[in-house]
Amino acid sequence: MTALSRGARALFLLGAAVFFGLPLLWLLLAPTRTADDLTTGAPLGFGSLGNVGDAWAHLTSYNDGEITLWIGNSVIYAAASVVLALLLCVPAGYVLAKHDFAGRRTLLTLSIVTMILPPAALVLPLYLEMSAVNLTGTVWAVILPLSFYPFGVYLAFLHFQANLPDSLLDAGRVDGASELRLFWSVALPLARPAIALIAFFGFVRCWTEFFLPFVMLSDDRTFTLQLGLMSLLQSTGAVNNSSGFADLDIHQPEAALAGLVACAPLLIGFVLAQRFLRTGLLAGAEKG
Amino acid sequence: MKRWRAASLAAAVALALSGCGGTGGGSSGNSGNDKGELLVWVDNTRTPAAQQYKKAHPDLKIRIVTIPPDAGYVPTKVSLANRTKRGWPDVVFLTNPAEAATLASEKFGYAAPLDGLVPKSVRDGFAPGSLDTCTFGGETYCLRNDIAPTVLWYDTSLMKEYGYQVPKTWADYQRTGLKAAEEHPGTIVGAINGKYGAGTYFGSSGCPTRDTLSLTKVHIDLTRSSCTRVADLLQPMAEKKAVTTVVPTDPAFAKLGKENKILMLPGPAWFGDFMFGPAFKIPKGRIAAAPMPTWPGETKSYAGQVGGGAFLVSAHAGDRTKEAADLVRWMTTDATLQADQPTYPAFTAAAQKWGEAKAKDPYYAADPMPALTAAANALRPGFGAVRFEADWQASFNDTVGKAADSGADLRKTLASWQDKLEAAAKTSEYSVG
Amino acid sequence: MKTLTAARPTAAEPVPRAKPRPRRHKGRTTAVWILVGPYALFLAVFGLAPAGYALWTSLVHDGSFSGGRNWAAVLDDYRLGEAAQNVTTYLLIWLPVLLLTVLSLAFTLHARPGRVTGALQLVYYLPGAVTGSAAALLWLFMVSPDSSPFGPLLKLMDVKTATDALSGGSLITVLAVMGVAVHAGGWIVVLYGALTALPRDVLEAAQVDGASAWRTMWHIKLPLVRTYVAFVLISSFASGSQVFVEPTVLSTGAPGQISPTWSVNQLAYVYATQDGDFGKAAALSLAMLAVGLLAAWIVISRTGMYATDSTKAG
Repeated sequence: MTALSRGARALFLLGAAVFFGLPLLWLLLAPTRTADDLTTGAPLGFGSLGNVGDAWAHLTSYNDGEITLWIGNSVIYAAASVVLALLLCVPAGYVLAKHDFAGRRTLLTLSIVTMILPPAALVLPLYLEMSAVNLTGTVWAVILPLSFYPFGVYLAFLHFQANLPDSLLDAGRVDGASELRLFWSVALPLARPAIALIAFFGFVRCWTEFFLPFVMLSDDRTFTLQLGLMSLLQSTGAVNNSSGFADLDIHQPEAALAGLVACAPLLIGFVLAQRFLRTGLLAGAEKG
Repeated sequence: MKRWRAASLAAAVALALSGCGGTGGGSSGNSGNDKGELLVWVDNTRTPAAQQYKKAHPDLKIRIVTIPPDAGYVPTKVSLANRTKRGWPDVVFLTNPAEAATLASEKFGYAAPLDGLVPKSVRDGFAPGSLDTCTFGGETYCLRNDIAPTVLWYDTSLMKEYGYQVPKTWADYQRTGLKAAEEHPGTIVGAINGKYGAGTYFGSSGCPTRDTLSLTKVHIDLTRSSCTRVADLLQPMAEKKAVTTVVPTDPAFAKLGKENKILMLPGPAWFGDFMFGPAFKIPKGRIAAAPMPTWPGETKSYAGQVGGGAFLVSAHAGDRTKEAADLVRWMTTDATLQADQPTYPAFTAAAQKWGEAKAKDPYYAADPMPALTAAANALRPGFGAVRFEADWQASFNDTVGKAADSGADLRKTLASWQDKLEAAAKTSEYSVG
Repeated sequence: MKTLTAARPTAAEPVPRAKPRPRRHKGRTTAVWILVGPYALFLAVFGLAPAGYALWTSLVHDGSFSGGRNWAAVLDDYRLGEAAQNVTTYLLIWLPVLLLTVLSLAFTLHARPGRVTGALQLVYYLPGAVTGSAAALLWLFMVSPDSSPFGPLLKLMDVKTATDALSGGSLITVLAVMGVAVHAGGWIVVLYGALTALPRDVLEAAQVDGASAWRTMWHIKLPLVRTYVAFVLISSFASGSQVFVEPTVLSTGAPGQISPTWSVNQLAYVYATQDGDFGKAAALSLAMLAVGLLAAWIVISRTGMYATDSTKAG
């Protein structure tokens, strides 16, 4: 590679990094600044760390610190849905990739269809289902529908398809291992990268999901962080002064801080998944 | 390798169990109805007041839920409850009173008429015309918590510096605006975007853009002189940029404020506390309020409306109906309670008390209460709650707003606004008369 | 809320033909259903049943069967034409830019994987992680020339205020740029992952050949990941034609500026929420589903995804 093309490459990647990074840099700096400074100061100015503490104190002044309750709720909803989704997706993806059985093609096709169905169609049916079994308003009304994750099934399916040779399974069969045993001790150990990806994308989906909790939950104490924050920021007019009027000291810096709190788990998840993915791929490469 | 597989399985089981434990708070979703609790849905600002009521009535079982002020939240929940025949809240606070038109409609059948539940003497205590938004076909379906009458906000320092008088008539207003734009380039005397423009100018002029005759009938007629006179008023001012199409919630408005470009701004009562200082960054001691200018042939200065909230009682409250109505009555009319509320109370006696503090507010250059009180008592009739509120705003931006921006003929765009309004009304199952 | 993961159909239909399967086996069938059964159950309960019910509601009005009444009402809605036009324009701008961004960044990153590639991917992913009301705040300030780090760029575009940015012709550009910023990162991760999983011997052979980085990319890597590209295309088409988050987020930041029914999916949402009209919501959603499936089918047959795979497997 010539020095010129190397330079062009670095320039391109860095230019993109500036484009993608600036918004978050702004958001990162915003809680250190005052609301006045945000509108009238330099775009990427820095205020003081003390302001961040104040902003957090203001956020917790909403409904006696309900924000911490929502964080807890979101963790429970997301963790339970992700774990359940993994339990459903990984075995299903494995079977769909490695076994021929009646209904296999149908399952694959129907998964695609349900994957791109717009959520507006699902409000009523899902609500009625949950209501029929008395689950509306409970954590299950959010966790159960979210753990149905066809995209995850496809990720697992693609992974096993590409990285699990039939010969490996046949060898196990010759040794007299049962089919379930094969899944547990041959397929699963090779599934690390798929699990990392499904867990990450599944987590992103559950953590940022707005629509399902909006429909299913009607008590602010059971809200997810997303739903709660929408409630908090709009009723205090934090994003724009006309959306709500409150005597609470919640303005743009508080809104930015809330946004950072809400996206931090996703970034941590990203870094973790990347690690898991890299080691998994290396392990796979060595085996292959 | 084996360890992480076993560990994840254990984690799954643990989580499932913790999920079970977490259901405790959730069962309430099936509403207080099952338990005989009075289920009250209010936004965050109204939550402390509801809790105060609960404390004062220890014999009542009340469950208070803070709801998001999101447009569509209450209608969604109510239509789902309608399907399952349970889960209705007994009392609801609407941050957008236009939703009353949806919730009272036959399709939703949620809002209970309050005429029999709240004595006429109490209803008469509200600012005249303020309950019009709650009234359909002669029946009152909600009580207003706060109202947002428009006044003419102005900057006393700039007025003095430029040697202008606060205009009494719209003709004066136009003259002053054009003069200011010429003598002090960049100066504005009004904002005409979205609900601010439509509510402030067209609403106060009495232009029938959303005059609800009943739950199914709305009167829209933009050929009226009450509409064309507004177009004529704004036309030259839009051309000379004396009125801006920038929305007051745009961060750019702060720049206008900081650069001393906001000479006058006809707008709702809440602009005083929530916009001039916090959003436009105008220092204290400069802003004052005057009544809206008057139209030729009229001596009274009428106010438009931009905002406010309302309380509804559920038609499904059953034997809790009386309790629900009592709570709503107290929340909207208690003077001590309302005096502490952030926005202008709809109940006249409460507004008086609210104004006592406002009159002494050092932010204002002069006591804004005389102008605000006059405005609250002079709400222009014919500005009803409609089910197409969002389209009402969007269509205004799309037609009049756009024309003002490009300097096109405003009178002519009224016809296309009329078309869009009619289409919106029909889609929302109104007949247009 | 739709995130980049919400609507992702997948390319992997090909498999059925990939290889002759091992003979069916009785004992095996039990095991198969033990493993896939739970998912199949969830698919039925949370996927098919609601979809079926939605189809039913779309055909019912006021409790009785009404045939195409809801469908006709939706097609007749004066907002639909404008919304469809908005979405089409949006797709025409957003989709090519997104694909180009994703492909060029993923390939450039992969041309010389180094220590910073992980960090760069994280940076590219950042805008997608900010959601909800905080995103509304963020993007409102990003399009406000006086307080945005992109201010000079906006002023070049003759945008003086956020109101300018969110009205007229610039709105669609703003939405498209925002859409690219939000969605590109996730796809870069997926594509980069696919690239790193490529067999090393093929790439090494190319390097020995002395092929230029450009040639390696164009003639070797791209064909190898073409199913993934098709996958990105199908998914992005579906999520773009169902665009919802971007206009909603911007109108939360600047209320009243953007029509609440700017996109088709927003219109469906208004039916389901504000209007409480589930029949119309279902009809419009199913129409969008049909468009997404049609596009998926075209992409699959045009790119010969099936053929590629069976040749690869064979």
